[in-house]
Amino acid sequence: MKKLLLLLLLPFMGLAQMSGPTSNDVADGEGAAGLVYFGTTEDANKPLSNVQVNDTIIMGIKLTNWLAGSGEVTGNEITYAHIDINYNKNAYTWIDQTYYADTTNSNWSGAAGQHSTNIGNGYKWNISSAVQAYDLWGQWQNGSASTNADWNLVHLQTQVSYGDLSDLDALVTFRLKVHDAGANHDYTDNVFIPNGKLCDNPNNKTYDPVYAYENQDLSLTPGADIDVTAIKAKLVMGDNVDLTKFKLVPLIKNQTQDDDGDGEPDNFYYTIIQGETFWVDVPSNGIVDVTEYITDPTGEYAVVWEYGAPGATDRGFKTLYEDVLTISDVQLALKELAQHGDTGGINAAVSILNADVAGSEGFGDGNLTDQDTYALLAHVTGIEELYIDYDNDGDIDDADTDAQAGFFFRTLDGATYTDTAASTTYQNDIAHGGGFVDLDIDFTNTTSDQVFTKYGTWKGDVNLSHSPDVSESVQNDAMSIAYSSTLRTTRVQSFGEAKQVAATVNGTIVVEEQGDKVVAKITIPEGDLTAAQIKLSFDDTRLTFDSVKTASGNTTTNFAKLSDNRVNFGSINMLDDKLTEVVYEVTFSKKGAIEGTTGLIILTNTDASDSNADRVELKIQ
Amino acid sequence: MRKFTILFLLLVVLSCQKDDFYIEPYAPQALQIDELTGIKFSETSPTDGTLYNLKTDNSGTYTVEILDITKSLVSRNTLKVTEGDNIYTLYTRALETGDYTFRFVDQNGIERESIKLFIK
Repeated sequence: MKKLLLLLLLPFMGLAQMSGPTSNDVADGEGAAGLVYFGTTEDANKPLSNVQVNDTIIMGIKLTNWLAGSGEVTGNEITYAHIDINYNKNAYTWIDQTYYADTTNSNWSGAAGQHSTNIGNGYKWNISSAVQAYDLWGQWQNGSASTNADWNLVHLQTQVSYGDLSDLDALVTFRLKVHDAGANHDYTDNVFIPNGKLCDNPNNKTYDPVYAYENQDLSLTPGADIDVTAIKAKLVMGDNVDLTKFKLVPLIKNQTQDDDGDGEPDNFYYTIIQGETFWVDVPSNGIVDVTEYITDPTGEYAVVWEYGAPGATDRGFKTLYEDVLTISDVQLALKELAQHGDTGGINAAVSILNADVAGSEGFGDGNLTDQDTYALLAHVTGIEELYIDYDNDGDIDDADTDAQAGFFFRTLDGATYTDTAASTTYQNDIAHGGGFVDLDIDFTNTTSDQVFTKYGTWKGDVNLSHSPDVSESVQNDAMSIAYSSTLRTTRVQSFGEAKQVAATVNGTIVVEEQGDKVVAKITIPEGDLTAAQIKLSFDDTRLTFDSVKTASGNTTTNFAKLSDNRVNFGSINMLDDKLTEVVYEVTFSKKGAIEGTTGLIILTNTDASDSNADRVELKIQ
Repeated sequence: MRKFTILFLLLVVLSCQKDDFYIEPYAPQALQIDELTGIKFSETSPTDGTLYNLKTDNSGTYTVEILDITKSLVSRNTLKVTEGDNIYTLYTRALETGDYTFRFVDQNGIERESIKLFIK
């Protein structure tokens, strides 16, 4: 299947390689001449695989002298070389050549060279079977050329009175303009060295054998001629989301393949990068230049933002999501639902979509209802999490949560949420969900960067604590997102406003040994809080979680949830009654002997909400 | 001969009896502190299980506060200390990699020692 996919993608990709005999093949050689690639006239560092139609590539011939002297041993010098180059005229145009055995070259210490170039128009060398194809001196003696309108044979010659031509980085370089030779053209070995001769004239020595080493031929399928300056994908999120945790997967739609046999193209997206690592890393600024993957001006391109490396066993999404959807998100959704009835309303259009979690795996049903607030509360309290048994193995583990990260992640371009059903990837099980972004590239734009910016947010992030600050214009556009028409909106609020912290409440924590137990005691003073949540991490190699005990009044719901080595616990009052002083006693059992408790239990996050459902900074001192 | 045997067995029994002497915690060479009080870790870059010596000039209950790089408290632990060397273990598995400040505060709320460490 992989081979099939590779073949299908061939027209879109610039495939390139040079090849030649192995070192064992040339072990008895006295001299060699090999092809070397020196980039293009525009970019000396351009990878051969990125060469496009209309680029001009610079190739060279590098000589090797295995008879050269060493130390006190006098050897031979290559003072004469003629090397032929055969190239396909449909794929290349010969521009010019430059010889380097010249006194103007500061890197050349030999005599001034005499050079000649003879282009045999319409000839192709017939490789003789009497000797190996890479035996250049043997081919020169045994082979011959015949007329072929598609090929040119170039005879390059240099002679010096002294000096070793193998000392040069390149005996000669030549420039070739790259062409599109047509869909059915075979680009294999369209440039190659067919024969050659090397001599040490002062010592009447003709090298034998002379091999084509390291590279004898070039096979280059050029990419399409695309002159866009830069295509970039950009992700914007909240400051407390580490963008380097994301991976970006470049995709291209195959517009011809029909796997289901219905006579119509399936229009599946395929990963452009082949192999196990089919994504690129994302820097901390969230901007990835994907220009090198854009090779076909008729192609339809897309990218997928993935949290963590696709297919990795633990991508860390669950740990992140424990901080994204917290008790203050629930309180905000409850408050809005209570004020605006079943049809719902919330203070930011983006928020309301994030609160709409009940109804489907990826998106809700377009209404904020008590089903949504229940689902939010059930997730935070651990009664029923939003994750599903994605792999149907009977449990909800990291494999499930990681696979669902794409359905919790949502992108917003200022007008609509990404439609998860719009297109499907076929390869590598990319569950693109909300992270899929179409790249609507303007191939006529050759003067400015094209940046495809997406604003990332999360299902359940009602208070937008892990969502980006957006500009006023984007925020206003967000009001027209797909589902908002069915939802009443009470006031417009930007991402930044939503993240505003109303006040600070100080609590305390003390961890101490009590016999064979270790107890963390957290106290939150009485104030304007209606909900509070705390997350502790603990050393699960030395402690086992036992319980959380608290007393917070009859109308308050307390909860505690254990995930791996993390305990999430807290309280919420859904009747808007303020919490009295709350003391949580989190008890652990020792697994063995310990010396002190330093570092065993760590506070990793807090969250709180006041009677206005505004977030409150719960500071533990 | 029998008397000698009984006497020998009595000596053996008595020599195996538990001593009532108080033995001060032994501070290994790497943790010994010349001054009257101080804090010393067995490694300059502590890892999980690194020992440390909190040497005090009084007995009582100390607290060790762990502050992250933003000076936010991430843990506060009680330590029952005796005068002299007090050897404890630092557990780091629950800590994210980063810089942490460890503050040792006595029962009167007075900071007695403070040290900043990189934990990985």
